[in-house]
Amino acid sequence: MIASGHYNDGAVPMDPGHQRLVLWPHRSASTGVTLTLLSVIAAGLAVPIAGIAGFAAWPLVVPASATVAGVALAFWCNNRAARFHEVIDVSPRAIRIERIGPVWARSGVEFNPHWVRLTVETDYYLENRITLRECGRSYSPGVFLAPEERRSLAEALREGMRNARNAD
Amino acid sequence: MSSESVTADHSYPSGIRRWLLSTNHKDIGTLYLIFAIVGGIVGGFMSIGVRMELQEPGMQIFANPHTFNVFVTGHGLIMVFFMIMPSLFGGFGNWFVPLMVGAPDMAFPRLNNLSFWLLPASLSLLVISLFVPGSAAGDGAAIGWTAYAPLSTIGHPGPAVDFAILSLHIAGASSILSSINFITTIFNMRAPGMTLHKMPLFVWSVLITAFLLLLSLPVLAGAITMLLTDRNFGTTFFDASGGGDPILFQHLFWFFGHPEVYIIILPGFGIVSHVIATFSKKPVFGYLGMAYAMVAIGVVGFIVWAHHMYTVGLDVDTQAYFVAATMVIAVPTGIKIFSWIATMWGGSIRFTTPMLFAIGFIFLFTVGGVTGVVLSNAGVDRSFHETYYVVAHFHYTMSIGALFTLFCGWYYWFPKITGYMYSEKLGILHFWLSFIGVNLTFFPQHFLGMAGMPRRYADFPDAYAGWNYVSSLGSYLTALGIVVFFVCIARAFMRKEAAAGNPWGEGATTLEWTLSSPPPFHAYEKLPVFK
Repeated sequence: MIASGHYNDGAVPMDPGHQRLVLWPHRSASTGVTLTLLSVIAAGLAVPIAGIAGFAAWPLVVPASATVAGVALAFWCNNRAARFHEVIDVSPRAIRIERIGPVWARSGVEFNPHWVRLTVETDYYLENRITLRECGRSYSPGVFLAPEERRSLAEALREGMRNARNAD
Repeated sequence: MSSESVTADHSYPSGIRRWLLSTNHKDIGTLYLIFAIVGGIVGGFMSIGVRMELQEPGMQIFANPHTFNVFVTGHGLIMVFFMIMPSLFGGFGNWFVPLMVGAPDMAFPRLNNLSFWLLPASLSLLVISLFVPGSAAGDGAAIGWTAYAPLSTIGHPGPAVDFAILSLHIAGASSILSSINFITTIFNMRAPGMTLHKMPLFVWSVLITAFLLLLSLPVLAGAITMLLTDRNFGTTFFDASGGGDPILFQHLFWFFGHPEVYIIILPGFGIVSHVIATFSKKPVFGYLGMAYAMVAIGVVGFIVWAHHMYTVGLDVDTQAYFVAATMVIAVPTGIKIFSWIATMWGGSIRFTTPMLFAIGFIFLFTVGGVTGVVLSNAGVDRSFHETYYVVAHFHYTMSIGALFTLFCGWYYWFPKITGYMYSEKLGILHFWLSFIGVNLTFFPQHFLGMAGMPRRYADFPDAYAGWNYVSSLGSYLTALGIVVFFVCIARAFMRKEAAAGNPWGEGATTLEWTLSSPPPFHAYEKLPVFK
């Protein structure tokens, strides 16, 4: 489960009427915090083993190393999950949504801005779920966002579609 | 580009799948709490057995002293690893940490499920150890929770100790996985705006507990693995005849064992802070001081372990260091006690059941803290080591002190967890029976200890009979209180009196009280933003 996150119109306009939205899940710890944390845990385990128990208790190195590795792996996995993001490009020619997975596996969908229909469902389990539909195809962007953020995203998408349609 | 529809299966699991395969933090928290109740019943029966044996001089109910010590060992291990830790850290931690930091769930829900289900396996191994050969004197491991070598090596050639060691390995693995999960959740999954210095004190307490577990359990895991190889594979880590050192085991054990005391009590500190603030209708006094006092207790808790070992032949300078370091712990602990009192001072206090348990805890922990200062003195400890004075001390702090915080949290969050209100009258009756019962049980043990009665003996001279009798009566009164506790729970479930989202009113300000009671299966579809 992805916690939630921010969306950001880090606009990279390529032509008039083009808008880019980048959505990603929220994480509260920076890389620096994570590294500091790992250092503290590693030092906290190394001191008693090296300084107090010494060579006589060498088997302690195994569980201690496994613990440090476990914490590192946990943060790596959690941050890797947060690399999941979506890039939405809205232009007069097309709405392209690209979903980039944690290991950079990409998939996407393309809609015609003149034909696509945008709905926001409030009664669905996922509050304010946005769905783009066209010719039997559908896609729900921003499923990992908070409902209020999805509402803002819907407004931004509607505005982008309006601009795209008016650009012609 | 291919077309794609992103939808998820949002049906809620039910029946056995919901509980066996649960990845929901609230369900797993509930499982931990149920497991702790089972552990508490088993461990509690063992303690009643111990007190029945000690009610009068001579052998009463046990066939031999070995079985008595098997019960003492089982009681200690079960209460520490399968009652207090699963309830305060696992149960309440799982239930409320994600809610309080605004995370939708724990960082690793499947790992959370694994952490829980390792515990029943671990408890099963410990129970099996009761019924397989231990020493020549009988079945079971009569090694105390400390499992000192050589009693746990050549003193117990049977497989009972191996089962107990494997049980501890699995319980330790469970706790380490839980700790990693909590640390990742608290550091990485906080809602926007929820900075460390805005986190509720219960979350702080769980975070510090998780760190203590991560730093201490690998040492225990290594030590008992060495014990296992000494027993089964011919190594001599703790055998002087092979060049090993039995005192090394004590150092390693207490490097884990002393932080374990704080692992047990720290989540309780967090709960008591919330309860006192809620029922005094005041914010907790000195929030940052309270948070960093817990950090200080955690840090200092790692550098005082040898105060359990004054009698093993430590040199005078080393003893002097450990005396001083141990006494330093009274400073952050005192900060907490005085801050709780300052929170109550001038507050609009409501003496509800959780508040009574919180105040009871402050009394019990202060008594235990004072005797702790006495025992921290190496000279005094010469006399009190391995006597009932020590038993009384640690029960006041990490046993009944922790138990009172557990009941405090239970009554505080029961309406939130179940959606039902409990009977205040029964809750208050439970409190008074428990408060009188535990004091009647353990206060006389100070007198027994000062008179020189050693622990871990099934029989005693007539001179100790009086206070032992009083102590046993106290334990029966406490057991009666537990019966009232179960009646209180059963009544709440039968009457189904609905609890409001926030039944405690304006004093309850943490995030879980903004949700319905019980909270929805997925709590934060709408992510809170803190400003």
